[in-house]
Amino acid sequence: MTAFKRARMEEGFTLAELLVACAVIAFVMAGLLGMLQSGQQSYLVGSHKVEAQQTARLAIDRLVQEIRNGGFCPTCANSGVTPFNAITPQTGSALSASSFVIQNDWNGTWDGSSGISASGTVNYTVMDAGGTVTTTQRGERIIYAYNSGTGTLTRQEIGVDATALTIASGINSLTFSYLDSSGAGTTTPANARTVVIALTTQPAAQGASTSTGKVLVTMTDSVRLRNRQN
Amino acid sequence: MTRWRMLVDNERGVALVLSLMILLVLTGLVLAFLSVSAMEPQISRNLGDTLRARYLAEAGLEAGFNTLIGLGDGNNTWTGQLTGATNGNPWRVLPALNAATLPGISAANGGTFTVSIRNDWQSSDNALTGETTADANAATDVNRVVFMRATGTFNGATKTLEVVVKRASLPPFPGAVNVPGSQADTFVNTQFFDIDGRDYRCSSNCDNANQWDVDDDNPAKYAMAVNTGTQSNVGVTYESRVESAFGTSGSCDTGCSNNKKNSIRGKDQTDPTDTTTGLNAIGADSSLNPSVMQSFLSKLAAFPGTTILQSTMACPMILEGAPGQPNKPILRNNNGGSGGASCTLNQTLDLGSRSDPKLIYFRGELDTSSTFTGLQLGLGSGYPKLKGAGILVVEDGDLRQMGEFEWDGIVIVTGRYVGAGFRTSSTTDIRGAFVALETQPGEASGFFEFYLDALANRFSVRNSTQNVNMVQFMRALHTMSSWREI
Repeated sequence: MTAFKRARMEEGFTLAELLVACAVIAFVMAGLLGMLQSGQQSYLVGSHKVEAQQTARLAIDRLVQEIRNGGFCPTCANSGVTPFNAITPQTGSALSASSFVIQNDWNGTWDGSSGISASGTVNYTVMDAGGTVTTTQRGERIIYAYNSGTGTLTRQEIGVDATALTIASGINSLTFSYLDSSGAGTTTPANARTVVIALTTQPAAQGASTSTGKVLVTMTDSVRLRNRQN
Repeated sequence: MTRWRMLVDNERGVALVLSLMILLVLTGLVLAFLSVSAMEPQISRNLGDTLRARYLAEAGLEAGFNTLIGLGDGNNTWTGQLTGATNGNPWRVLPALNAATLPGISAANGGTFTVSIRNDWQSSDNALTGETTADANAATDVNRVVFMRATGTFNGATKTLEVVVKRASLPPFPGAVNVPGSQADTFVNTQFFDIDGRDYRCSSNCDNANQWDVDDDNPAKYAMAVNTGTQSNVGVTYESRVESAFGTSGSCDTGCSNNKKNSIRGKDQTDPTDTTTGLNAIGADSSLNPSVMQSFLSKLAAFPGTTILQSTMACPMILEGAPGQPNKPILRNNNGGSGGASCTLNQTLDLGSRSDPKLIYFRGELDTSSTFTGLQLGLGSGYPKLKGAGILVVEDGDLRQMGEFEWDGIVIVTGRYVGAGFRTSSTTDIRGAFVALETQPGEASGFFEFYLDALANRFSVRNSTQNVNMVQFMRALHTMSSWREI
């Protein structure tokens, strides 16, 4: 009888053999479980980080784009026309760390004392490459506000949006500060030339600790008002 | 055993089937994970590319602005750059700015930007330019206002920014020395000086005064030009008012008068194609008048980049030369005002150079007594020299020149109850044009618009189209406004 045939004739395993096999499998599985857990944790942290970074990038990109344009004023280079304040507080007279209003004059009607719309919409014209002028209705005031209770950043274009619209959520903290033309901090609207955005975001399903996927992403950007040169 | 039973009990080959199934499931899972994780970097890359495209567009705006500053026709408009523009195809790409790259970076690595301009001719354009009248058509620029658009492109992402570019056109200067205001009271108490309306130019080493020669190809201007009309408080023409300073009076006999007349040279008002010395080199020309000058200065002062230095009667300003640095003197505001110790300004002021001309704009305040010196130049003979280039404006205050002063470009003294005095021991060289423009009629006699002291060491004002053009095409006379992303 060959050895192969003998093996096929085995009737079963002894208890000792089974116990040894179980022990070996248990060891292997325990090791695998550890690896799986750390892998899962890494994946969770990584995906949460990506999510928080995306939120931060999009929020900052949107803010930067509109703050740069802020204070659009075609008549401000004319004699005797004092520019209006490009960045104003939502309430009160001092600029706030949690909200601000961007003021523009899309239709060039500012005369030094009046002409910017605080409630309605005005014509916003753009000429394309073929010389065709497209006119859309835009509001001249845009309010950006951070709600720390809900962790959201809202934007409301007065005259266009009936209510404030959420443009980013999952914000852990957001602070606006303002610099004057020499780079010193200010809360006076007339002096503000740069807006500094300090933003910390988190994923929608924030973990309690790093092991359960807790992630905070902080980004800071400062934006110079392009339409206010001095 | 039935055939069916045999088939069920036969497990041979099942391992292969199971392996294939597991492989299929695992492959599906891996692919799903890969697609999810590959999407995130793509989103980030798109954001990065868009950001880069925006910065490229910003770079394009700066490059385009620099290009536009140096371009212009005889009327200082941009019509030459709008050639071929039509209503249906209004945008014209600026020279060398079509798919341009950043210096030292290839298009593949750094992206490209394209900069084009269009004229403001549509009625809706006024809302964007702030002007009251637009031009007549897409190809002819009259008001020196154009739209400039820069598009940045990187990895397929594009961003477009648009601005309005304006140019403040210099007023005409019909003379080397211009006294075109409501008063033209002139006092010349020296016999040997140099006011020359012929056109001076220089090709190299232009900091050396000897390198400037007369360019006969360009027409000469008057040595001294005034406005047409009559000075109301004395009832004589502005021209006569200036000419009277060159006649005989008091201690100035005929020889003295002739010396004065021989010191001025320029366009002959009896034969404009020729030049002459004497009173015929003093002419009336209404092209420069208070309204034209006021319009130019208002535009200049309103440009967002213009810094105005405020001189007050309490704290009047003075420029004191710094040793070894003639174009970087010290600006103080304690020149004998009533402010005393509170006038603490003490800073270096860059007066510019021919390669980097500056706009220096001083503004004083209304002084009906006519005695307020808005700006004093230098402390006197022997003190460090002042030298600059560009355009020096003193508004609503006198200019008192005491030291050594050399200027390439234009010097303007204007406003109410003002005048320019070139005093004892002063040394003055101006190549370009000089303007003393009084806007207040009826200023008391004895307060001169143009005052040349007996003991002025040297006084030379020469017409130079080259320097006037240098000023016209300097950065400070242009502005880029109405910045928006579209």
